[in-house]
Amino acid sequence: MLERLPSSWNLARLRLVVQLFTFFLTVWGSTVLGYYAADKISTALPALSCAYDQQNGGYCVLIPLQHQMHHRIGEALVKAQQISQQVLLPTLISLGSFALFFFVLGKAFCAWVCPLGTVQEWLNRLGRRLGLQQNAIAPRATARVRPWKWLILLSLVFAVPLAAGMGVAPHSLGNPYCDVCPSRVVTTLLTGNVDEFAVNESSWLKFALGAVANTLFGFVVIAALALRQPFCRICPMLAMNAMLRHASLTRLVKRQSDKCDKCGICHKACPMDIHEIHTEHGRKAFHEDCTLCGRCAEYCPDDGVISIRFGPWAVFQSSRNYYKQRVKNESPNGDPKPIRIVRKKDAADLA
Amino acid sequence: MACLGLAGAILSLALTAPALAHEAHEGGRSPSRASWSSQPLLQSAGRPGERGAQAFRVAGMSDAELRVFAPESPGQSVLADKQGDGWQVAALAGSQGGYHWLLAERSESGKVLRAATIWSFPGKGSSPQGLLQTPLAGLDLRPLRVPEKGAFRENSSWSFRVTWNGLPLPGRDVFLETENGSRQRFVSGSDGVVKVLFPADYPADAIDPALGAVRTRKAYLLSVAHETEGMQHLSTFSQFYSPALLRERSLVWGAVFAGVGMLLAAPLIRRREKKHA
Ligand code: SF4
Ligand code: SF4
Repeated sequence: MLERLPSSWNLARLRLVVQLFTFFLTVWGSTVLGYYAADKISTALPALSCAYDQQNGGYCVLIPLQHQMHHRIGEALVKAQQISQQVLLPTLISLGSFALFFFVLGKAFCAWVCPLGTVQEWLNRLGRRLGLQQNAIAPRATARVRPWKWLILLSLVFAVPLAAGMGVAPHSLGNPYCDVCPSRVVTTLLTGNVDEFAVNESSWLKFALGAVANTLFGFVVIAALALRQPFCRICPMLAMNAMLRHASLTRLVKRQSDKCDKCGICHKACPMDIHEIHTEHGRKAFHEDCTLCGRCAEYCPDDGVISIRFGPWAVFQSSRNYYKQRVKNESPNGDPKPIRIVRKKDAADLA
Repeated sequence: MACLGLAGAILSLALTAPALAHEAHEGGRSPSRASWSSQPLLQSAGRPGERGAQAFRVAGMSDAELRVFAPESPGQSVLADKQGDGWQVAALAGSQGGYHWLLAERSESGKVLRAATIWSFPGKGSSPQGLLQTPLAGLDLRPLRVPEKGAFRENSSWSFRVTWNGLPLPGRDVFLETENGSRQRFVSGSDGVVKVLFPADYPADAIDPALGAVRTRKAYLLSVAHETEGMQHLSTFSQFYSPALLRERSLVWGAVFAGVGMLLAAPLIRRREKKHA
């Protein structure tokens, strides 16, 4: 029993504590912060903290962005008004507050704050405990997956709401990303509200959007058992967060090391299957898909090669001793040691 | 039992409301009434104008004054300027917008009539928490919470507090009337709070197809009366409530598509191959 207890502090445990705290805040936070927007942490968080969840403690930036594209910029454009300060200001405020948060914590919003990121991570842990074969996205296949997050950001967060505001697209396409976002379904279900799980039948368009959302939700819930962070790979917030990542105070830094050629453990440890963390160094190693989970730094067996930095300070950096401790609890690809739930028959085979 | 309660509620309404409305006639012009309620009813009229300014009218009460309270200073009010048979109200100067408390009031011989509503003006504004927790002297009826996103909806419960001079008024009958024709009675608890379950009373064809269940709305009114030192007090609060979202949504389709998604992910699920020695 004792060997199953935490042997020492590690980054993963710290992240788990932070995730538990932020998960509570982003799903049920209004119970302590207050119910109204003015009481929330922010209405432009760089994480999928869903505004449809009436109990959350802060809203995701994507909803004000879609609304401003639709109601302010799109509608102003069609009225042939100048894009005045009054029209642009709310959009700039949303982007500004996003940037402010982002400038401090950067991509860490994904791996440390986002409730959907956390749910996927916990589902994957469950899948491993259940002894499911894990899948990864091969380096060549990542090239086919990675553009999707940009496409979704540009089309569903910016272009379609803008077109709806201009009257080119139907009005009901005012916030199409929210309509298909699995975080809306997941977080509202977690508050006991089934309204967002139910599919809107009032028009074929709403029905289609609801169908996509629930299909995506069902896919993510099952896929996450056997693939790390399946939705994160196409998440538009990942793309938003990627745009400013090099300007953020919190960032991932990898220096060149000759030992990397024969190693590649960091790539195995990466839940986003970012092979560049192995093959590159410098700016290229801090990839647009990185969620700043820090696993690559935890599992790099070489002193000081990978670090998470806040401004000039290394908050955490790889070290051989840490690596040796870390692999005792969990393998680089995420398999827990030594607890594993197996069927009785398998257990007998193993014995 | 429920039928008896309902009959009692209707009877009380029938008895109190006309009497109070009759009193309201005496002081001035005959007040127009809402078609669905004889109680004093403060309501928005028409669409918002410049910078979100909104017209309000009061029914069932004549020659009233309208006071407006901003969320930043819940204890202080500004008298709204009369315009025609109502008032044109915008967020108060110095306010960031958001929820404002509006109160139409008229005192006359032996009677104080009040009709209140809460209205959100454009702008993020301060939290309305202060407004909701600052009852006025006299008979006050206000919600403990108002929906920020979404709306009061059918089948959902919301709490309201009845106070007299800022102190809870327990055991008081609070009547709910809705534009869809429901009439119900609730009784305030020891803390003056009544929990109101909005009735599912939208007729099947009442959802405006252009607005959907999300934005279709009808008015409701809560009223409470209190008599002290020979003075009769009647206070109302009105706002809108909307149909339940599930009226136009299907849980079955939700489960079907979630199931489709799960099936699509199923090929990823395999048991780990055992390592044989
Ligand atoms: S990429 Fe993942 S963790 Fe980041 S916002 Fe999207 S769902 Fe959340
Ligand atoms: S590159 Fe490192 S910090 Fe970024 S997601 Fe992968 S393992 Fe996490």
